[in-house]
Amino acid sequence: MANGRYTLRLDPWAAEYEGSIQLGEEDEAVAVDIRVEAAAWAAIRPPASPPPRRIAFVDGVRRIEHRLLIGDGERTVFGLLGSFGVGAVLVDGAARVEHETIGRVAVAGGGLKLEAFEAPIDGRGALLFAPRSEAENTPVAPVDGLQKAMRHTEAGLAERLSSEVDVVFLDGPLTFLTAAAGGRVVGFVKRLLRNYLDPSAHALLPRLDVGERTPLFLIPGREPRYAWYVRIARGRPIESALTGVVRLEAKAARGLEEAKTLADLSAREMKRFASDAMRDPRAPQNLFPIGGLEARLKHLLGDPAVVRRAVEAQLHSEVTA
Amino acid sequence: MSNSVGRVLGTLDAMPLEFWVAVEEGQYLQLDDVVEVATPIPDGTEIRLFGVVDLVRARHEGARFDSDVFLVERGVLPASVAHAAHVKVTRVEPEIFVPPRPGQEVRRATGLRRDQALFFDGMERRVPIGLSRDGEPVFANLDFLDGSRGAHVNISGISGVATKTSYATFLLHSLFTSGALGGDAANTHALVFNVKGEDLLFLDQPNAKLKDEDRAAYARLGLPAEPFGSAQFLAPVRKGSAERLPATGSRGAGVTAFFWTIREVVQERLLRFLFAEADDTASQLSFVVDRIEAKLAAAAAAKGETKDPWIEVEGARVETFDALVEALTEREENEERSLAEKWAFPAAPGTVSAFERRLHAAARHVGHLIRGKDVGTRDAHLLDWKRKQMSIVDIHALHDRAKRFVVGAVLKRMFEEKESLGTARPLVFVVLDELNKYAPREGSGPIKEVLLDISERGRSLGIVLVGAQQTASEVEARIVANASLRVVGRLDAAEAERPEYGFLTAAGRCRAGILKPGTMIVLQPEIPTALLVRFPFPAWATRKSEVAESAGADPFAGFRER
Repeated sequence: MANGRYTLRLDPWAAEYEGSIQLGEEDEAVAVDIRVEAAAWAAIRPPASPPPRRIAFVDGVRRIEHRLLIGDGERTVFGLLGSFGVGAVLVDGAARVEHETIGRVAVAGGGLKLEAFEAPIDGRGALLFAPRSEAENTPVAPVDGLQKAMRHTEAGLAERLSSEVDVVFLDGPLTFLTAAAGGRVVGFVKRLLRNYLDPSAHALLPRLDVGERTPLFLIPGREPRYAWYVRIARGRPIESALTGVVRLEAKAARGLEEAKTLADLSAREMKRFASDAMRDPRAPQNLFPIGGLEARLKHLLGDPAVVRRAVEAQLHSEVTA
Repeated sequence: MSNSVGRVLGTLDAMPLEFWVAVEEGQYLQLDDVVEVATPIPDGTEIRLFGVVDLVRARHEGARFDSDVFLVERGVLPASVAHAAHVKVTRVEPEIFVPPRPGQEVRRATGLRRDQALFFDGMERRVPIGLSRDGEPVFANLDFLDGSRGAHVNISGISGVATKTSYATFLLHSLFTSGALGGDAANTHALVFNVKGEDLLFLDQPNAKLKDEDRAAYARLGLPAEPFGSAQFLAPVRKGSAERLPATGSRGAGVTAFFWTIREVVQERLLRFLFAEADDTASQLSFVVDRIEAKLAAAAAAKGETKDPWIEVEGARVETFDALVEALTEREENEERSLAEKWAFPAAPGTVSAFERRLHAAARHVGHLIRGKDVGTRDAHLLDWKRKQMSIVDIHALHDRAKRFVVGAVLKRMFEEKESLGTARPLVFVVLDELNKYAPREGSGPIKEVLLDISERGRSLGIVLVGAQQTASEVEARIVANASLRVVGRLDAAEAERPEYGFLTAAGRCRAGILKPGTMIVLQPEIPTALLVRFPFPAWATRKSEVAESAGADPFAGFRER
């Protein structure tokens, strides 16, 4: 029932995920330069070009196996045992998952140095949780530690692959890419979190057509990046007009020309990987290769019940020893 | 070469008698492949499981919806193709029935391992029964064919495409020439009833259409690619032919005419086979037949000698079958009752007239096979299966009633002969198609009794029945059940679902519906799973056009010499 006073629109993602569009009006726009590529802030449809021969998508998944409460003298330190998986989908005609790696970490807050935690499974192997510590001692600090471990591994894989393929789409911002990283790596941010544009520039986003992008804009900082928005799909009329708009970024250090090439390439190519709601609860922004990769990686993390039982059995043997 | 093809799956139950194999990249398994897997048990013993692949499948992993296949093909959705094969276990060595451990390496079984998997290693006397799909010979244990531990073969399949007769002939060829029978081979006989078509009439002639690859197939089986060396062809005597010419079809030369004398029919009590289809009033009618047979036998004994073809009934000499019918059924002017009625007393008049009706009908179709004069040299027209290794009795052109009579009379005589000998040698194989006509599931009859006798006691008498029919479900269950070797050619889909084919797996049933001519599924007692075999193109001619031209067949050869 339209009432003229407001409009009701849906966030396209399934409700169990956090919203895909979280741009609030309270957010201060970050000071960005929107004139780096073109004087006019208008939609760009890149010229036709043959598709790249090889594209890689890099992503990771993580899972908290157990949260830990670590007695350290008088204090209690927050910690966790977690698993993460990182891998890539290589697309060259066919799409296939490669370079899957699984990591397990024992994270402690408060700067506490743990030893590696080993939990035998089935008498044949053991899960080895590598120690890692976070400076803060808050309940969320260990989760950050797990997240960072995953992001570092993702960035490492993206850097390795960038020399083998035409372009690497790395899930998330480029924060963890080393300064020395060479090759063409594009950060792919599927959730709109921060307001980079002022309202007049922002007004372009809902008007983008599928396969169009905004001009590049420069995000300054310690590691300056060129960023742009692309519409990879159009949502249903009942969904937010920003459905299907994603943000991408490339290292500014590699020059404006390369960033433009990557922006054009992404506007041309990414739309064919956009997922549909039937297959992915985070459609259309969660690309098909990413969804497939995540499913594979989650599978490789192992059965959570088996992992939990192994950890419990090990702790039990330590407690009763 | 490691022969490794994959590993035992862990996502589906692995069981001692069946398990799934994940097929490794770059390898493949197809139906009927023979594989082995070794699995350790805690005491250190290694259990070897052998089996045959009976299902293979491929599917996308990482795809959930049917339409995902399009995304995968477009290179958008990552998915991999997983191949898996289901293995039906044939043998476990040593016999500790544990499942193979998931993850164990599965190997293709070749050479001795394959022999072990299929129990060929334990067969002391083995008969090649065809080639597996990978071109290796498949054997049957002669012990289960010659009566030592079992006997009889039963073949089912749709006429025309199932190649039942061809396979039966191939089996005979293999038995005679493989050497499995050892010294007995020369003294082993086969009696083949040619009930339809003429494809058996030339099996002493080489097949001109035999190709080199067929010869190679025979060589792999260790069999000579040659026609049957010792064969005789017997055809019923021509109707009304005083010269006793055979009623031959397309084969002109070398065919012996056969018939029975009235005296033989009466003395050997073969009359009953004229009433073979009489199931409905079986008990009543067979009583009448019994009585009249007895009276006739007495009449025959009273007058004349064994070699005389005729008999005397009530003082009149009977020299033709028609005369016999007349003597039995004619009512004299001053008589109210026919001879049959008198003899059959106290049978009800209705039953006797049923007898008379049938006798008249029989006279029309069978009468010419039973004669009381113009018998020539009796020996020349006897149906003696011992004369040659193969005896082909061509009855395809006869009326059904006459077919029944010939089959019944021949088998009865053979059975009694073997019974009186009391030894299982010489071995004789009887090939009979359309078994459902002679030993139907329902009802009883004299031929069915003979066949049941053979099926149940033939083993010890050295008579092996190679029976064939379109549908085993229409044949007397005991005859099918007694067969050691159960063979299935192309089957009708509905027929394949019947319990008679319980030895076929679900996949086997489906395959039975698409079997090509020349391919059969064989179950034998020692191998718990039915094996698919191909048998080579006949090395003998199966029709006139296949008969190889040779000097001997040239009709003008004699002219030139003169």
